[in-house]
Order: sequence, then structure tokens, then C-alpha cells
Amino acid sequence: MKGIALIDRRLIHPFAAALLATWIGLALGVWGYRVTGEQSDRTRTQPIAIQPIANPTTLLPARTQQTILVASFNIQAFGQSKVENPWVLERLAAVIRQFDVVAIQEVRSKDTATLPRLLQAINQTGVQYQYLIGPRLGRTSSQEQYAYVYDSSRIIASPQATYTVLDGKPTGSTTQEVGIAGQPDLLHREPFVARFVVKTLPQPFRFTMANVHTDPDEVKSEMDVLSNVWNGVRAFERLQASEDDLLMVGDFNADPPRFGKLGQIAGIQPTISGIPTNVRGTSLYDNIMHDAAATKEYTGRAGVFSLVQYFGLSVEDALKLSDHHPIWAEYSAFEAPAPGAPQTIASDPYGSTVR
Amino acid sequence: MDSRTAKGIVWMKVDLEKLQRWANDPEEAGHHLEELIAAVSSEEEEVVSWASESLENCGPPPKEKWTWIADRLSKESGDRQYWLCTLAGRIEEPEEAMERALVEVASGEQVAEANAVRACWALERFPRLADSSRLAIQHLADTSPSPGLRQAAAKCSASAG
Repeated sequence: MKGIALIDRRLIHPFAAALLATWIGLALGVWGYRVTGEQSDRTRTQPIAIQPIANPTTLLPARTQQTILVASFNIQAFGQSKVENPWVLERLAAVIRQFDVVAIQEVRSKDTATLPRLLQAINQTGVQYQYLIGPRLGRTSSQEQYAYVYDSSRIIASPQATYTVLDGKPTGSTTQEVGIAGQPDLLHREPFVARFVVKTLPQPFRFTMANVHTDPDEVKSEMDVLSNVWNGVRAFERLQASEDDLLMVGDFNADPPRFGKLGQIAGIQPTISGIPTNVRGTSLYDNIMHDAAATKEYTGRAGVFSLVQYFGLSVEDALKLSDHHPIWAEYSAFEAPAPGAPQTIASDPYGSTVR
Repeated sequence: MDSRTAKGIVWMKVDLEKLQRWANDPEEAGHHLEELIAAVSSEEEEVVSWASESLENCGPPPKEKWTWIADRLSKESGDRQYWLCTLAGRIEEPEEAMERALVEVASGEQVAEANAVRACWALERFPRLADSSRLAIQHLADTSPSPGLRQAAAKCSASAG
């Protein structure tokens, strides 16, 4: 992908999306949500000195200009009670500051100030994080939102290039939704997709993230549907943005052996395996996945960021933050050549390229 | 905890701290299903959130709650009914009363589509269905005006053999 032109939602043509929808059995819509790091007065909290027990470098690779750290964090039922608890809010903020982009699951609040309040806590130290948030999703009145929180000094996100996979529930309210009328509701919480680029030169890493939270009662069927989502979003991103690097991240409520058709996609690589991601240490629920052939930017380093270890907490106290630990994976800040693309490995004095 | 019964509807007030504790203690949550089901229709958003989180995490209901679940299934509506269907679907060897109640929910004309679909989803997980249940579900698969319910019923019917 060349240039820094990020897609405008007007460029996501209904015909192209409908074409893909026919193929994947789902429709892709563009429910774009413009969000900034604006803060309101009511979000002010007193700074609290947090003294992590573990140095982040013992849990994470050192942060450098050459790499970025992408994370996923299910902040269990993130809403009013957590935002209004300074002990919790400051620790969640401290965790998020360890990463360049964090995909968040389980924002559960009708109050639109909830995420800005987290952002204010994050930015209290002078950093410049911003966020993108998706629509409220779910089959009951307790609905959830996906969000991305990212360090805007290192990462550019385009609110115009965010969308939620539209899963057969077109409202007909806007021309930007292109669902198939009558298509059954296949996913409890449809993935929220966003496109990012690292602020670096000369060839910044560009990538698309699909944020996922499966219904624990329907993991098997949703995993099969997610294989269609993977193929559909990938094709859509290639078509619309020449983007080949898709990271599917989130709370899958399953470990890789139970990924079904999603795990059978050629080249798909879960970066987390063989280690629990829940705070009780019993199950691997969360993952960051990419196509190993396409996403050569992956450095091979990934892991679980233990809330227990980082803050020196008991399991019971860590559960006040979330029942999930954040998980992370490291990627190069620079775009690797696409598979099969010509690679310049040397130049001769006459200007011809040697492959 | 404060509880009473009025006009057949269980009303309970559960404090948030307990809900948050149950959300991370599935076994304990299983013993408080009445409170959790009541809490999902609370007017307080946080109560609903944490009750939903507890119900999502609590796993199969203990056997002593099966009769209560079967009894409430067709009497409740909205989120309470949705979660009762979900709990029923987690039971590996359900009793006939549970099956009948789920068929009633799936076929109910006044039942929300999401709940009728969830009832089919629960029935699909049962090891076998009675002939009368199979016929009722097949009828839904053939005639329901809702495409989602038709598909869920067809899937359930195919699974029931």
C-alpha cells in the first residue's frame, strides 16, 4: 500500500460491499463513529500514584521506534462503576499506556462520557491517546461496544475508515448500511473494524484490525462465521485500500484448537497459545491473529500482560480491574514487502534493480 | 437483599457488589439465578450489566434450579426470558417440562424474535426431542414470518433428526 491516503467512507461503495456480502453471507456496513480525545470537566479525577511492582520491560519488550505493541483487552463490564473508582481507573489507564494500540471489548455504558473519562486518565501523564468506538451491540438491553485506544503520537487512525460488520440487521436508516434484508443474525456482537498506520518513514506499517467478542454460548457457530468475516474483511480491505495486513483480535472465548473454520484458514496464525489469558489462570480466551505469510511485520513476540504481576495484586484484587489480562503482540513499525512483490535487495551503479 | 412477589413477577433488589462478585464466581452465581434473572430487568444500567455478565459466565444451572427455570420460561418476557432460554440451553439432560416450556416460547406469538430464536437454539442442544416438539419446531421452520426464526427452527429441526 502506497501513500497515506486513508479511505473516505464515501469510497466504500454500496455495490462493492453488497458484492462481498453475497460472497461471505454477511454484509459489510460502514457505521463510522467519529471520536476524538476530547475531555469533559466531569471526567477529572485526582492523579493517583501507581507503583507497579513489575517493570514493564520484564513483561513486555522494550518500546522502540522500530516496533509497535498491539494489544487486546476485555475490560469486563466497563462502565460507570469502574470509571468512578479511581483505584480501578488509574490502573486501567496505566495498563493501556504500555501499548500503542489497544482493542477493547465490553464497554457497557449508555453514558458517552465513559470512554473519554478513561482517556483523560490515560492522558494525565502527558501522553496523547485517542479512541474510536463502535455502536452498541447485543441481543439484550445490556449491550456492548468495541473500542480502539491508540497513541496518536505514534499511530494514525482514520475514523472514516472504521466500520462494523453488518450481520443481517439493516436498519434502513442510512444509505451507508448495505445489509441483506432478512439475513439471520449470525453473530451476537458484530466485529468492529478500523484501519491504522504507524507514524514513521519511509515505509510505515499499515494494518487493519477487526475487534471480536464471541458469545460464549455460541463459540462453535460464531467461529465458523468469523472465518467468513476474515475472508470478507480481507477482500474488502484489499479492494478498498490495497491493505493486506489484517489483525483479528479480541475475546474469542476459545483457545486455538477450538477455532473451527477460522483456525483452518490457510496461513492464519494465533499469536497466543498455551497460556491462560484470564485472571484466574484457567483458560485461554483472547488472541491476536494474522496471516503469517502476509504480515511479515510480526516480530514473533507476543504474550499475556499479567495484571497480577504488573501491579503485584492478588487474583481477587486483579479481578476488580477485569477477569481478563491484556494480551499483546509486537510488530515492526515498517511495512514489509507484500508476498510475491518485487524486492529490491541491491542496486547496481546503472540504476537497474537486482531481484 | 430484598425480595417479594407481586402479581406473579419476582422482584428483587440485589446490590452491585454482590453482582460483581458473582460475575467472577460462576458456582456462587448458579445459586442465585432468581436474583440474577430479576436483575437483568433493573432500571439501573450497572445492575443490568453485571447481572448479564454473571449470567454469561455462570455456566449450566444447578439441578435444583431446573424446575424454577422451566416454570418461569413462558411466564417471563424480554431479557429475563432470553436469559432463561440461555440457561435452559446449557443443561445437558433436560427434563420434559423444560422442553415443553421452550417450545412454547419458540412458538409464542407475543414472544420477542430474539427470545424465540434463543429458545430454538436451546432446543437444538437437547439430545433428543419429543415428536410433538419436533412437529411444532418444523411448523415454525415452515411458516414463521421471521427469516431468523425460520432458520433457527430449521437448524433445530435438522439437529433433532
